[in-house]
Amino acid sequence: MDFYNTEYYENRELSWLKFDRRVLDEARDKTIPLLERLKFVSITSSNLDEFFMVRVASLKDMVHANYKKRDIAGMTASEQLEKINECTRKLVTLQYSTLNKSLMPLMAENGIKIITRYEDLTKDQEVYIEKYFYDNIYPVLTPMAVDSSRPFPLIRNKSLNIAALIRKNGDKEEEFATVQVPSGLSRLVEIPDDNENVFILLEQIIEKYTDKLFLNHEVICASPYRIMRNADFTIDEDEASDLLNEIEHKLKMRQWGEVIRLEVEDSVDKRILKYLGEKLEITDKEIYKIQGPIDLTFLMKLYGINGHDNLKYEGYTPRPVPEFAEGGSVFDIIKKGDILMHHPYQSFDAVVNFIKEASCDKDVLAIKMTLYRVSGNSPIIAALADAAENGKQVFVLVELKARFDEENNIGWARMLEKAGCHVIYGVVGLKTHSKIAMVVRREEDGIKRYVHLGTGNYNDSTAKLYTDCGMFTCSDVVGEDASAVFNMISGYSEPESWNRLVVAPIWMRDKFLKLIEREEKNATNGKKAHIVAKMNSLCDRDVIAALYKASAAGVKIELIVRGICCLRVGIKGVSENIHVRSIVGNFLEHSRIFYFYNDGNEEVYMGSADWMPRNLDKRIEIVFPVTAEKLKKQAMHILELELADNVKASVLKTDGTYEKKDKRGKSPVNSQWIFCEEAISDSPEDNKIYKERLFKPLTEFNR
Amino acid sequence: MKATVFGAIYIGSYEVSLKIFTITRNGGIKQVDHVRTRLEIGRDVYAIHYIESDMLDMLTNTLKDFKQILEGYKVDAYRAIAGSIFLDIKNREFILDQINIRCGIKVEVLSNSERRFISFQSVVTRDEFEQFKNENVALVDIGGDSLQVTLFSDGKLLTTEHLTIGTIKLLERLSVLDISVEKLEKQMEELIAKEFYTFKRHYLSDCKIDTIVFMGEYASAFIKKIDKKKDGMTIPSDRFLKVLNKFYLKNVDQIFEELELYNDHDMLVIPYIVLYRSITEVFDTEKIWVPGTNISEGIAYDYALGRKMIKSLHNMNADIISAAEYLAGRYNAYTEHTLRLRETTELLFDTLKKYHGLNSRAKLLLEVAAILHDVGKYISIANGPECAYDIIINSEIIGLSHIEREIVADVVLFNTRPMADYEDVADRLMRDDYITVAKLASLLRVSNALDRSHRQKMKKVKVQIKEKNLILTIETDEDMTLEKTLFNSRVDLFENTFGLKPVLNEKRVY
Repeated sequence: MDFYNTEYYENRELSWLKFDRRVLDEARDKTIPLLERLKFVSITSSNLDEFFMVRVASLKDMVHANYKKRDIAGMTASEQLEKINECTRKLVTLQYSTLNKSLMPLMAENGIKIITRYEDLTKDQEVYIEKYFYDNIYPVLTPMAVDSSRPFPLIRNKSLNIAALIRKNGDKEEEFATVQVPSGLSRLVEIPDDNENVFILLEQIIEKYTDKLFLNHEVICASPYRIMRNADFTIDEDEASDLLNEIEHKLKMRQWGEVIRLEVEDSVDKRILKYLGEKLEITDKEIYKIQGPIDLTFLMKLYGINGHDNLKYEGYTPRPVPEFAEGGSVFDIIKKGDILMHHPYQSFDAVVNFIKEASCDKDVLAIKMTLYRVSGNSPIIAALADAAENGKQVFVLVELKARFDEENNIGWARMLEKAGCHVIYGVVGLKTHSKIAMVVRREEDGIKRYVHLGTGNYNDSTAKLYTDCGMFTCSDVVGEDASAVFNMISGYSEPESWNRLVVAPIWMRDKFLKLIEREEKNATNGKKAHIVAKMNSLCDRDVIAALYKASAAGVKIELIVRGICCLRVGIKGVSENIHVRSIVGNFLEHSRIFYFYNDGNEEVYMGSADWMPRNLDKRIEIVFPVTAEKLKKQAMHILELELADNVKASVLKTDGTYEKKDKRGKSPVNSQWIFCEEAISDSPEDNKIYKERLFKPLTEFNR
Repeated sequence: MKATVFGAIYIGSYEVSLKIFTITRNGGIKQVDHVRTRLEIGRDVYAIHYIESDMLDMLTNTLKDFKQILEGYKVDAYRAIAGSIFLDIKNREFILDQINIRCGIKVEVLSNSERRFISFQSVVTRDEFEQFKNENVALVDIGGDSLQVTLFSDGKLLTTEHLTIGTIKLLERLSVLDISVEKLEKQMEELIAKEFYTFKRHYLSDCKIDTIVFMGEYASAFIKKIDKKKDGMTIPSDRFLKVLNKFYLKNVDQIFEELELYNDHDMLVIPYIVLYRSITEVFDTEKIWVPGTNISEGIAYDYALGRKMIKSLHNMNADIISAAEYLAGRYNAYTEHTLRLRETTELLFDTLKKYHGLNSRAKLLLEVAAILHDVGKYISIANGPECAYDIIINSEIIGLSHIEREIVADVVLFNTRPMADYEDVADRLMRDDYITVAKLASLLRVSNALDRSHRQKMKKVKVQIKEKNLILTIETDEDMTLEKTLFNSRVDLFENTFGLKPVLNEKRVY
């Protein structure tokens, strides 16, 4: 059996689009409060932007480079672009129909009104908006006309603009003009109203007053547009190295920033569209006519408006980790045994306090950690700086290659360096994606290392929204490995092998393949064999082939894959024993947990890596075993509950589509809610303090 | 009391490493961190006998990193040692000076025997080593340029031998030949067999070795293939050979994949495999023990033992004595006379403590000199002292530093030859060492003079210091004319050294 047969694999881009569709399904779910639904629409929109900027741009590069290699599913780049175009259009159509037909009317019913046509304003509102235009908008606008002496301007990536056709008074000739919608101003302009929240979009106002920008000109027509560029000159890390070389060579010969997508409102004037198409050198396939406001990320802003708490879930406050609830030295508590944390159900404060306490503990010699994405005003960064000032040796790897966070990270890194920390800006050729922090302490009986290993970033803000796991340990063998990790990334030394940690690149791929193979052998020998793996994406060909082989041998395989899944289920003799589900809920599923039955000696691993080529080959990732029995049970409970979820889980079907579980006659199981409830009941001091803010689950399924 | 944090830096022929240890009275020595960088100093040195500027830059950059790590751990002490490869470097002093200036690290250069002794300590001081106290054991320490075989019998050290078939040396000797892995392994086996043929003839003709203790790279990785948990002390040799044979004829990548050492692609693994296999076959032992320590642990043990921070069940001084006895035996020089001489020198040393001011280590050197004082006669009766000097200088007595061996050899030389002026030996002895040689040689001379006939005529010796005289009263029932006649010709050095005149009295006993 050829488990590498391309027919057995799903294209990763199309699988990603299905994920975005699942997010959109949340927006379409009538059981979810309105503002939460708007949030999901906004997320699908920003997701799609990133998808185009990174993945579609990469595919276009391949086409330009005449790169012929087929992907995991046997598709060429052009075939993929073709299919992506088709699917994206369907997705966008659904996005806007959801917004226009379902959400907008509901918003209006609930006193939130977005005026999409200037003509719909009342007289009073018009007066207010005119004043707002002159006071706030007009001074920051830079209109640009295009003619023979003024070339078409460089339109910024992702910026919203107004295109206009104008004519000088007395002239016959039409001119093209464009003005950028200022990104510094709020896209949603609230119009004072006693009874409801009324908004108009910024671009509507500018469009209306375009004639004020071009004196002595008549505005023939005006319309908003937005472009997306392939502005990223570094090649996506997911691509093969031979491709990178080829494309890098091509890039050098190409003009900066090719436009890969143009969004215009459906009602745009044909002349404007033709002009933009020519100037931006794009084909019809790259033009998206939108049935509503362009760029729906602004909807996230509505989530924050006052007075509509009934349209949102009640807030959930992460509970203290029980082991730390009674206070005392973090180090003394960790010494009692390994501690597993489940965020955001349990508070990330334990991790922040770990670094804070270390920064001023007299016995601490050093703090070492990797930072991939940190929050805006990170208390961890502040604690690290304090530690350096307190004479501790502080080593921090700040990953500059963290996509879209590059600038942010440079800022932190410089600040830490000033404070006296030893900062490393990543490792050449590899992204450091691992989440590890180590505190080295000199105690009575020698050097003791306290290690935190996690599945998510050291970001106290996202730790409230992403589901992640973390483990504290002071085990000597893990400590040795942690030192070896930092020695490796600081360039001191590369270890030959590891005691416990599984580190990528080099070691991790083989480890996972061996673990899968072990189950396969056990199944072949008639023993019980079972794999449960939870991750964000699954698209590594070798891992999938190994899973197919294991499935064919009789291994029961249950996968919880939030996003991309290139594995196909239900193929006869290949993947009949594999079940895939995806959970999209209020929190972003982010933890990676791997379970292997191992002939009864169950093994559980957690870590930063997905089963993707980039994680296994091009990043420094850490997966760690959860060895303490109590913790192992906790981790297995997480998996069990997520496998039982019948509210937020969608199941991958044989035809490649996803479907929510049929809940008829069954009690609803929403794993995220149950984890919240469990965290509340586990929290010793709770019930009183948090009672009034309890996260109340919805148990109705009237869709 | 808080644990001591200690750093051990070792510059070897193909690797520079730093280990951080904690040392506690109860917990012993525990490794905390290990950093290693491949730097093939050996290849340059073997080829041109110089370290060039690029290599110096790499070395000092590595050591700067190490210094930073040492500071991070706020170590209480550290010691940096360079292996014997540095002895072959012509610009050694400049290199050491540059290391000191650039990194603030003073590196000591050790002779082979000193380095081996430090490694050796990390094994024999471990409690586990006591299990072999009733066995014959070969401790084989494999390095880049040479390997050291140390034989123990019933817990006593017999001998130690240095063979120039280290892993880099083996590869270097064969690298000119463009050959397959099969041929390479075959030729290595032949070279190793040739070297061990002589060794076996000398040391193993009437001795069967029970256990081999291997120190060297990858040994632990091979053991892991047999015993994953590494909790077994020893493993049967046939199982070890079985594992090694699995790697026979495999290329480097295949070997490392099999060993799960995915980050290593060093060609040296092949000579290591061949050496482990050939040596196991040569010794034909029942068991193998891989303690998993190396020179770095040795440096930590040396530090801790020197400061009495840890206790060892193993008696290092006894090893030195037993190695000296074995050496004397090989040259037919371990006689009744030797035994008597040891007793007398000990008595003299103890009696004259206030006059010589030497420590117990010097006493040990005197004892070794007494044991070896006659080894030269095996080669030449006429030039016995010179031959003895050469034998001692060229024999490895594990536990003695190079300078200590020099002192012993000189004490033996000047036991019979006139004491040289300092200027004549300044190239090999520091002034303090010269004085030690003079003191010990004068004690040995006087002791030797009491048994000039080598017939152990005296039954007992009594030593007293009276005014400016050292009164030696010998009880005997034999004719002591020879001893008494020659005595005065042997005491000048003693008189000049201590300002005491030795006087020989005879007490007849029946």
